[in-house]
Amino acid sequence: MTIGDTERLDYIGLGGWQRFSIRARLILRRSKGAWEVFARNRLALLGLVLLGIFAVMAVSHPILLRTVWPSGVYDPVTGYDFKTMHPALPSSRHLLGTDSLGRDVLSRLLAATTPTFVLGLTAALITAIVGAAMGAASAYYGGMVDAVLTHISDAFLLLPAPIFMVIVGVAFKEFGPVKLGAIYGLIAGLGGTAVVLRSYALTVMAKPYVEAARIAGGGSGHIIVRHLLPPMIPLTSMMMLLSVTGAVVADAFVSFFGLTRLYLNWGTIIYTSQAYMGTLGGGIEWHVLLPPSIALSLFSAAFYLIARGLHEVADPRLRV
Amino acid sequence: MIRFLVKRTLRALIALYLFITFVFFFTQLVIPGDFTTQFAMGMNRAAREALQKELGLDLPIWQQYLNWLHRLLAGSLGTSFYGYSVTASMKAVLPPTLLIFLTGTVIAFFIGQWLGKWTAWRGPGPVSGASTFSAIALYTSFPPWLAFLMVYFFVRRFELFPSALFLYQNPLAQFRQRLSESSDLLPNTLITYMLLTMVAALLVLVIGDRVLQRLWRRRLPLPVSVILLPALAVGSWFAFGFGAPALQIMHLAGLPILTFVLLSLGETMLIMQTTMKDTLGEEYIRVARAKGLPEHMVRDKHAARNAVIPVFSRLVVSLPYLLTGIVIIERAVNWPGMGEAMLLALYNKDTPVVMGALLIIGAISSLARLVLDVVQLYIDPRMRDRAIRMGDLGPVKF
Repeated sequence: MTIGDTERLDYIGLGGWQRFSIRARLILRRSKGAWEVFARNRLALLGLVLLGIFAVMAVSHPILLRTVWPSGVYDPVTGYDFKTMHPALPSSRHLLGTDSLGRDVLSRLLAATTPTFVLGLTAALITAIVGAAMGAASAYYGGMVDAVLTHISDAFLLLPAPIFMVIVGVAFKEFGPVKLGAIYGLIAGLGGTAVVLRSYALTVMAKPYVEAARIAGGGSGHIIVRHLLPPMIPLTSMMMLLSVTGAVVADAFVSFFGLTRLYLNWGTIIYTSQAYMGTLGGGIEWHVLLPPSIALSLFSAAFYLIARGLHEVADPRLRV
Repeated sequence: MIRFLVKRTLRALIALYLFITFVFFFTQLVIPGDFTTQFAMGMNRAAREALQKELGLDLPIWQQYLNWLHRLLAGSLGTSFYGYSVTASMKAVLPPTLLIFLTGTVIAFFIGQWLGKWTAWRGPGPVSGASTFSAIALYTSFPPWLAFLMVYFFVRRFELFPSALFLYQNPLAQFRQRLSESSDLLPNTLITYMLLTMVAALLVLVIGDRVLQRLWRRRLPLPVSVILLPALAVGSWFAFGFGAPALQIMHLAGLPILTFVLLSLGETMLIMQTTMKDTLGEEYIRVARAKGLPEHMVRDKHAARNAVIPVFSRLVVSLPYLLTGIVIIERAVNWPGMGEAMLLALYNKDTPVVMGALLIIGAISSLARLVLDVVQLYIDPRMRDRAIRMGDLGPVKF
């Protein structure tokens, strides 16, 4: 048995709820300091605000379709407005105008937010889990395990995830955001993230408390879960957020080539607008092209900025 | 040094082997249906089986794998389902891609690390704020969109680059017609020569810098090397007698290179800025200042030299992604490179070409990593120490 804080709290003789509340207060106090560091970074706060705006966008689309927008006109895929010529410039009826197929741009923009979130979060979770597991195992076991895992991540470092996703997209046209996100997460996790987390885990392993835990008789599972993984959390979450940026751009890239058009995302909107640009004889539809491009940039920027803020929390050397 | 190189090469080869095995099994097993079921609809059963036999698609998967590996070791990437050799077609598209990749990466790296260094050194202010902001904007921009904007503004509106770049035609093929009237050089040979002279010019500059430092303890000032590098390259083109067509090619390649620089600049700059800020808090910077060294010395020799190391290791990770960026740019400007060839093959379900292209991307990345490893050894004394301790490196003096 090991002497963790649970046992110590048991010893004092507290009930379950009290134990929980003490622990929660401890975590709160620790994260309060982290929040102060985070909040000092204006850009990171901007990222949080942007993220909030996107969340509102994602939630508002189904509500708007239920209440204000008649679905025959405003449906993101099949909608058509017979009252105007298409493509129509922004007006009070269509706030961002319509595209050359007569669909409301704002509705399409909002509808694409949810799949993007789903994709990003799937990619982030899988990247974090795979990367942290690989990094921790490499650093803890060393030797043969480390060698094999390092070779695997070396190989995955050579694989460009967006191109790979295009290949998958060609093969399985029915792949939705969850599966594409999982593929991106797997490649990013096995490749770059594992390399970064491994080198960080090695520095953790060199810390004296790991040695102490080992001398105290801690098993491998205990040391990895209790001593090795917790200090890796900030860096892991940073890599997680960065992988959202990568995944969203890669997914838009797949749709941009018109290879998976079975679900709507911002890349699809850009693709269809550019594809019909020549055939229907119109000029460049800036009002259709600009919103999804800006949304894509801001969405990835939001996650990038939060990751940058977290980097300052994760790396105490940067705290001045 | 030789042991170090051998070890690193072996490691790169193992990674490359794992990579191609993964690519092979993935493309073979996961993509449902092969070429014959996909496109040979009108064929009867016997003819289809004959075609499968001819293309070697009827063998069990592991035998196909061994065959493919065997041919690969013999230096052949196989035959496309449309009958042409993949090796030849890759040879045809590789030089144009490399031209953009190498020049773009070098330019982006230098501008990025210089901007990052400078903004971190100056601290917060309107100029550094603006450049940080634009770096974030470039880093998070959607690459096809950026490429589209570049073509729209630089070709259509300002007409700075030849309009061949956005019409549906191959700019190099046009160029080849014009070229064949004046000389017997092919565009690809010309581009290969250009690449070689550019690498040579870079090496001359680096070696010259070292010699200068050894003999007079001075270094080439940055503005001088910035002017000298293109001057050396262009001068050697004229000296070898292909100056005019080479400049025309550079004019064609200007837009893809510019777009690529913009795409990859942001990341380098942001990382350099962060690590530079990191190092400015270190104690050896205070020591260097206390010694009374001039500020530019502290900045360039003490802070920047340490800060640039993580930028290099990040470059290793992002190499394949940079190559992906090239695919998009080539698509947007009709540049006849690897990306175009690969996307076409993807549309046509031409698996051997796709595998060949992925393999080339992997090989370029591993080669670039080897080069970066050596460069890191050269700039990072800790890496050098570790290599010496592991017995890979004699006590060489750099």
